[in-house]
Amino acid sequence: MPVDDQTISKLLRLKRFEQPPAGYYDAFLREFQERQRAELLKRPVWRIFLDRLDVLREEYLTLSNLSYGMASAAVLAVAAALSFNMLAHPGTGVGSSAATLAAHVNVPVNVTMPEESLRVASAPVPMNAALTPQIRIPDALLESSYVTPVPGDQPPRYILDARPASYEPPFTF
Amino acid sequence: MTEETAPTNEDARLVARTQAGDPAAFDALVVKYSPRLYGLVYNMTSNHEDTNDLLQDVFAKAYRSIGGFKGNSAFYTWVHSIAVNMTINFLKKRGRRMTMSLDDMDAGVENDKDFIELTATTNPVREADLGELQIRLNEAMMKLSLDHRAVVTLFDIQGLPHAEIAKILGVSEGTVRSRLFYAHRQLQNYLEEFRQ
Repeated sequence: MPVDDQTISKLLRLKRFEQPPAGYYDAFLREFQERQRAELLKRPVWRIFLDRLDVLREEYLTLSNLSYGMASAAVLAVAAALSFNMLAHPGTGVGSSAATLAAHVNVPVNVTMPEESLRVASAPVPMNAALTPQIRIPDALLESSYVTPVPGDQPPRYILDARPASYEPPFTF
Repeated sequence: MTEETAPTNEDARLVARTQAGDPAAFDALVVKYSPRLYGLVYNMTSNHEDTNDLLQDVFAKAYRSIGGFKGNSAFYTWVHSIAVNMTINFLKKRGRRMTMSLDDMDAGVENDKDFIELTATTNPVREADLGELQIRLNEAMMKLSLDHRAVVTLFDIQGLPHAEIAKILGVSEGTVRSRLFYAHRQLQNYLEEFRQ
């Protein structure tokens, strides 16, 4: 028989039939399982301790993720409830609060003017007006200014105080 | 690569279950791959006891390392790499001890077309010649370098394609072909020497 490359290949292929006796693989699996168990039992204490720490860490991470999610959901729920409340009752919103505050600012007591000549807007401002992007003079500034009466159809003239007004009675000796 | 051991999604599922802490899933992988890995290790070590011990170590190592298995390659390739590397390391330490035996030849060989072709002529002299040739081939196999032996085992005996062998050994396909060529040449020379 000539020993060419083909013959060698055929002879080598026959070697795949060299197998262990029947039942070997069942015994092999049993031995593997026993070795695995023995290995687990033989593990040093520090290794077992580290593994337990790992498990605890994983549990803690799972819990912290859960609590983070719950806290986020709670914050979102509160924010949604507040937004809904503000839209349902616009009178209790931020804009109207500012207008109400402006309405409570006192007008200087020593100023006595005819009411029709005062054209200062001190009434509550609606919320949508307060949100329009227009340049507005702050209410507080308007309240603290004197309004000079102007005869006829002339627009009013506003004069700011040169120094703050004093409401204390003057000293008399 | 045979159909029964072809890498499938089932392997990926079993690996995922093992990584999740299910040892039964790894047992299924052991059952599936131990016959092929036995053939690989046995044909490199030529010793049943060594093969058994090595195979236990291979699966134990695979089990310990499976947490780091990212699935970049098939489990099949990964576990074959572990087996080849551990066997080569073992053989480097052990040196050249040969105890190859053909007594364990499976009965299925009688139905193999190569066997039928090689023993087509029912000539006792020819059969004896073939048996002797087989023994000499085993001896010749043990004379090959470990790298060459690994390639011959994976290609000629296990029937893996060049590309798969290249992945297992971590070399190029060209290197696999080159090693195969020189290994066959060496085997041919050993057997020719025997015949003369």
